[in-house]
Amino acid sequence: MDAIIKTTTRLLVPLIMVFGFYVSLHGHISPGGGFPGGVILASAFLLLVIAFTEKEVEKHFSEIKIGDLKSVASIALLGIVLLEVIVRPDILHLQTPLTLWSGGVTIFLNLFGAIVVASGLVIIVYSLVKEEWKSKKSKW
Amino acid sequence: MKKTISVFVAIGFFLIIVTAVGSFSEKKTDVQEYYTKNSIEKTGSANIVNAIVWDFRSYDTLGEETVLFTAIIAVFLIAHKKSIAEKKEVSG
Amino acid sequence: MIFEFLLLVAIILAIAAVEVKDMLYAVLILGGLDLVVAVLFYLMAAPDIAITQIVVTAVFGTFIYVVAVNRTGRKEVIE
Repeated sequence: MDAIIKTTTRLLVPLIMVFGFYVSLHGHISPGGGFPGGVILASAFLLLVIAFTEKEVEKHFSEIKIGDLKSVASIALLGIVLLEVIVRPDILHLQTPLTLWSGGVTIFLNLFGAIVVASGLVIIVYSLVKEEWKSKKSKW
Repeated sequence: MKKTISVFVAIGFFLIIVTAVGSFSEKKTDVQEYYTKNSIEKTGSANIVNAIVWDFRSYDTLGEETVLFTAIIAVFLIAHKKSIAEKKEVSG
Repeated sequence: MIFEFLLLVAIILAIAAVEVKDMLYAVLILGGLDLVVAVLFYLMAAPDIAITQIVVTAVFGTFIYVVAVNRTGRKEVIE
């Protein structure tokens, strides 16, 4: 891609990730939640993969293998199970509404759900794009 | 012929939906009243949609996340089949 | 007034996405249809669904459709 698109991507990707964390962590007060926040986090990776070539992406993401993201998703799912089954009935009525620390355990559930969705969609996007990189007809 | 039939079917669905949208909001069930009245007191979160999704029906959401996780594992196993086989050949 | 206008725009975009011969243009028109539907959800006081509609279908749906078009070919095959 051009230099314009690469520079714009470098500027935009951190802002998109901050917005994704905002949507997922602020989901119990404003519209949003775990699922849209996770998909926004994954769309930052999608923009990165589309704008840069294979070598530039592999240079930064070769340490973070995709299998590790699978493990991260499974640990977050385990966290959701533990929070919903064990912790949730105890601290249900702790906080006052309309402040940041409200909604009981909902904020942690939103965060873990966002992690599960984001890592899963990153795995799917990376698999599809890697198949595109392998085929020589592709223009990417 | 096919095109005209499909256009008429689409117009029919459009009319059905337009007439049905008004009647959805008139019925009030007990569950709806319970959720809208008690969501702030029971859960403490101001967003009612989030309160229903993650608190009142959280086991439902847990099932959704499990389905998503299973789909992720299936996609990973299908897409990375070759690399897993190469690793097995190298190691064993 | 703007609600009915956006409904009309959505119907016109849906018919155009079916009728266009180039598949890549059809995918882009479908993305525009998703944006219009998201604005409709926002006007019906459902901003949660509007955010999900934009992010899931207008971003990831378009990406997956573009990958599918890239693998199968841009021109429509008439049997």
